[in-house]
Amino acid sequence: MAKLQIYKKEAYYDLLSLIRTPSFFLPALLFPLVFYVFFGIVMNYSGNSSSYMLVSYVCFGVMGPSLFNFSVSVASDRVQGWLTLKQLSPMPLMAYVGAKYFSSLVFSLIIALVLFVTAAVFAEVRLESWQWLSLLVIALVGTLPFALIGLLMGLCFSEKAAPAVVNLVYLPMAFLSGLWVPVVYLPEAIQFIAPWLPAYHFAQLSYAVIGAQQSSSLLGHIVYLVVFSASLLAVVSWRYQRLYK
Amino acid sequence: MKKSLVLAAIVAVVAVILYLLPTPAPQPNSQSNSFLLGPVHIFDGETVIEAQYVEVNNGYITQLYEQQPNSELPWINGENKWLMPGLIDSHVHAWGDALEQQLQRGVTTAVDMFGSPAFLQQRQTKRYTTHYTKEADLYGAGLLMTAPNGHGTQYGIEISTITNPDQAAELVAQRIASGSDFIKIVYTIATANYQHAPSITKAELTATIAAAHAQQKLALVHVSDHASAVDAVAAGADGLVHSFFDQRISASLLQAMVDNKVFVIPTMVVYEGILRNTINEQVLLGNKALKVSSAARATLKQSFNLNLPEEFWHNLLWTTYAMYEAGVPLLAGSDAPNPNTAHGWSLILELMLMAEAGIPPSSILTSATHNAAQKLHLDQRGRVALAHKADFILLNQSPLENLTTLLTPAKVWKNGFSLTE
Repeated sequence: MAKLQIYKKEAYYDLLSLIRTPSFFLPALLFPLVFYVFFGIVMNYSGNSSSYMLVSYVCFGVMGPSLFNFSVSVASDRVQGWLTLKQLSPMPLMAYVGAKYFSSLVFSLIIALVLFVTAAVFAEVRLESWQWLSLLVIALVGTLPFALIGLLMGLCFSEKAAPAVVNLVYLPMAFLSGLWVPVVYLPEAIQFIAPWLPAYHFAQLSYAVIGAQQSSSLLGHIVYLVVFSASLLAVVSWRYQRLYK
Repeated sequence: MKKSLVLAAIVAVVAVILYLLPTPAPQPNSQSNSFLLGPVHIFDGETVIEAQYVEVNNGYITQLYEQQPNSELPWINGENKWLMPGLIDSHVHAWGDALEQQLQRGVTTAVDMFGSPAFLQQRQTKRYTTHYTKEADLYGAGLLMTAPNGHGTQYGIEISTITNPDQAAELVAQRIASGSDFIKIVYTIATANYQHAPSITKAELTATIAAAHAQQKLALVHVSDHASAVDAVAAGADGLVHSFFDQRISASLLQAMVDNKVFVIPTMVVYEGILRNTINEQVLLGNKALKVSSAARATLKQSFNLNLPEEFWHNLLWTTYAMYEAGVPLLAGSDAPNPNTAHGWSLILELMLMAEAGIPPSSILTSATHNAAQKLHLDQRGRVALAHKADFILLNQSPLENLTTLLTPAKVWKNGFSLTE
């Protein structure tokens, strides 16, 4: 019981620290919204499928907090010795990681809902209730691989380098996976790269909710994401062992 | 305590937002695709008929009457409006919510001229049912036949390509196995002097058409110039999925088309964006009364910008009329959602462009209904006739006098279900 309390407290204070950092949450919330309005509504490249563009930008948007929150704050906690302090405290390390993931999810949830409402009001997107709900669930669960990418970067780069590196990963990956402009409109070389990226598979699962996935088999995308997450978890723990044991 | 209240409030807000997100119009109950409709003027797909009442049972037309019969079925007052078959767009590329957009504009069947086989397969059995649906029915080519790096390979759908006439039979069989209703082939003549993607050879074209015919499938050829059209017709094509504008059609090509009973889907509306680029503004975007979605506006406003001579547009109009006059069957197709087009809307513009070419209204309407169904072998549709699907549009004015009435249909029925209500 006391243990659960620690998890709750850590999650609460991590979220509180983010809410008190406008320089984190304002860009995190506005970036996907502005991108969606510009490229998903005003300049629509999807052959006028407004629901398709919504799904793309929801995927793009929810990845952000996981990547940024993990990479940037883990890097700064580590470099400033805060992480070492946490390890010395009786708090389980998983409470620290779990809290970060929780606060990322809260922001992903807000982003997804803001995009949903924007799409419903300005882009006339109409979906069945189960589609809205499934999109939200996939969007939240699907952030896990990106949280792990962020965590690995947080453990590898300095607090100054991390924000730059994470942008270098986030934006090209989103573009190459067809989240800004549908994959089918991209040059052939990029279409060849896309299936290697986790964001592509994440997006394909989300497109399946509106029946717009590229292939008929969803299992491949799920297997890829599970294997990708598992291998990344292994790399993260290896990196952590090297740093602290 | 306070914290858990806040948490509960947040969860409630999320739930309320999710609950309030808009959903599509609800499905009508399953009883409502049986009815008696009349009195209406009926254009049956070819001509105006005597009958004024249509009896629909479970989504199929079961009887036509000249006088109102005694009937148990719910009666829908037709108010002497005009009833015609739901439109058929013979050239689209459908994915996402394309088929919903088509149906909203009164297009009850769409023919995909190259798209994902999975998308097509998921919809093939639905064509022969009359369950409630928000989508137009779909027929399709599935994957097309093209050369390595040829037209069609640039869209991200993985395609096996042809490099030798001997491969034709196997590649055609593959396509049929993955659901292709007919075979679409992309061809540009080797001597073409404009910029184009690599093309299959004439021998490969001929072999592919023969392979399609051996499997009892239509072979439709994508061409975009006169010389390629000559080759395609000589190779035995059943139809051309585009017209051409680099020159006016020659008497010999016209004769060959008539002799071989070749039909043509001119897709003037997509060419209009390249050659003239005025009709969207004039008919759709400039008319504030029409509810053109922002997404449709986006593709309508795109254009190719190729700076071609003005003469080409006149060539296209001339050729289209010449084909009509010679008796070449024309099928209306929009090539949506290419630049300058949007699903549904652009088919109606295509009909207006046919009128501009000088084709009489009844033939224009036939090109988007009966001709399409007959030439492309689309069963149970394209006519207001017994045993056909109750896919209708009801129009406030006679479409024979005024095609613009098609832009704002009073009602659309798909499988006997009314789209509005």
